[in-house]
Amino acid sequence: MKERFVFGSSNRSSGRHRLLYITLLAVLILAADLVTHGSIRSYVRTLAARVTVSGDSGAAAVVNTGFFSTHATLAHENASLKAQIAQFQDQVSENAVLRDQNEQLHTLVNLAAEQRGMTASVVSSYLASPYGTFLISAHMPNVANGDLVLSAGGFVIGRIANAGPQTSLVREVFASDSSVEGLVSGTNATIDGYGGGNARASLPRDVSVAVGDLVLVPTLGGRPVGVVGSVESSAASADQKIFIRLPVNLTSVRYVYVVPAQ
Amino acid sequence: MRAALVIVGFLGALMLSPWVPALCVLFLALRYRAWEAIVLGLLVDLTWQPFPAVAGGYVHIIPIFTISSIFIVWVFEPLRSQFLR
Repeated sequence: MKERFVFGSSNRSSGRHRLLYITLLAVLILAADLVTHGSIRSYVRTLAARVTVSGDSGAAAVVNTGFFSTHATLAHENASLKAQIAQFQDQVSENAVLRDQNEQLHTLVNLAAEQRGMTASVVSSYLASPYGTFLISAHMPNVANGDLVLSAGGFVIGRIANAGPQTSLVREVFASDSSVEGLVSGTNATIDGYGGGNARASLPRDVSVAVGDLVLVPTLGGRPVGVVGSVESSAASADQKIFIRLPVNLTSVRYVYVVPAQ
Repeated sequence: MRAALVIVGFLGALMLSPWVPALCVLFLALRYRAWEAIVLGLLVDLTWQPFPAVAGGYVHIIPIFTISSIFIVWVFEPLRSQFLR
């Protein structure tokens, strides 16, 4: 009994020591990252982008093998017919994806003709970040901190927060807890971000605002950041609530255009 | 189970909602004396948080996930000590 107790307490003690070491190591890594001006997080982001891209292509490869679909329907259909159908479906899906990418790139080409900048691909998920950020393939010296990241339609999605040696971190304009001064229907308003390309503003009730009105931000070169999605007003309140959204679905954006901040 | 939680947390930190690594950290810290929870928190912050000195003016200058995971791991230590033999 005594031996077991000694063994247990020794094991527990070593576990605690390990926790303590890792805690200290985490603090040291953060301190080293601060001292080296973010070189550690640049390295981590490069690895994260590689893992994400590999994960996406790996998942696509698994789906394209038809492994899951054949197992689901083998009991009901002839195997060879099913393989052919799956193949055709894959081709259709691939074509749809390629057409979508082509359309996005085509629109970006038009945008590039209007203003100097560079096209970059999005190399991370939009959903994963708790800080309203995502990674793009553009890197130094082609881009710098503060550069504007535009959608194919010319709307400002975000700004480069950290330009790295291989990837850059973009912070969304409408990230939650962010705030920007903008013009809604020609009236100054503070726009509060809510993440996912959504934001809210409050305006006096006598200001005429219509759904679809552009929201411009003078500090971002007067570029649009979104459109009015809906307006809520009541006779009991002096203000009206304006719900603003980015007119593109963020999760479907694969390419962005980066222009220098002015 | 522990390895599965770590893998799901790792993938969630990079590709899924931030709730996934947060829940993994919570479950890991609750059930195991898991140093991996701190590594997960660190991974989320280093990957997604803008560098504070360069991106000055942003609200998120505190590594919230790292601090939270360290806090949770150590707060649950007395509880785990009662059950982990």
